[in-house]
Amino acid sequence: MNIKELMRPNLVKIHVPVKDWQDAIRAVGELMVKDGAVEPRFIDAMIRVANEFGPYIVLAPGFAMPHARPEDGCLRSSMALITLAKPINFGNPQNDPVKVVVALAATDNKSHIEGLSDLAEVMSEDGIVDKLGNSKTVDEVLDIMYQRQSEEK
Amino acid sequence: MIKVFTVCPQGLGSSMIAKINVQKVLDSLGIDSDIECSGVASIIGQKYDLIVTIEEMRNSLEWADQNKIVYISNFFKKDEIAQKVEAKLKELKIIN
Repeated sequence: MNIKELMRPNLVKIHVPVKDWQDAIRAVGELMVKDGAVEPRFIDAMIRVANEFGPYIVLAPGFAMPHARPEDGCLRSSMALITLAKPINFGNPQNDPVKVVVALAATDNKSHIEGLSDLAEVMSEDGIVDKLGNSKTVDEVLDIMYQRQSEEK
Repeated sequence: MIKVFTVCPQGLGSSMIAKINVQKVLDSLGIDSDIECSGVASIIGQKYDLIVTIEEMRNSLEWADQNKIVYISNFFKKDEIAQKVEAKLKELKIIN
């Protein structure tokens, strides 16, 4: 599945106000729950993993990618994105504060590879986090995220 | 052919992003490679030439041969990955 199939428009929300990093994970996870992509327990699993292993989910400056295992209640492979109203620290000195959060849910360890590869391409662009953070509409975010799409399978 | 593991706690998010970018780096260096993303537990007992992982995994990988590990801080910066991986491959005399 490519990024367009994984990151459906209803899984994107901008300028979300959150009070801490757990809240940010809950906010992005809620989009997936509403979409029917994951069970509510998937959100707890994403928070638990980040607690257990530290803020390794902050993969790049300003960008966090919480995720959990397929068996943690994933129903459909998907990616959800929120931009934060105010940047939040996740406890990763190198890459804090976080402005963009993309949650990842996968039903197995293969279906999302194309989508992740698309994401990797988009996120390697200079200034991408600010560009997403400054986007004023969901469509603007989607235009950026859909720039590159692997072939649909 | 070199065997590479990209490692993260769960073996399906960050390690997969790392795999995608490490693959591009090794391809551009003309190195034939077999890259697998994995959680820590799955690499115990495995043979490999190189591990690419993140700073946060340092403690979990204490038991592994540190000479073969590259620690990265930003998964999307292909130049950081390229620089560190290339330096390590030279150190290990896999490339000149």
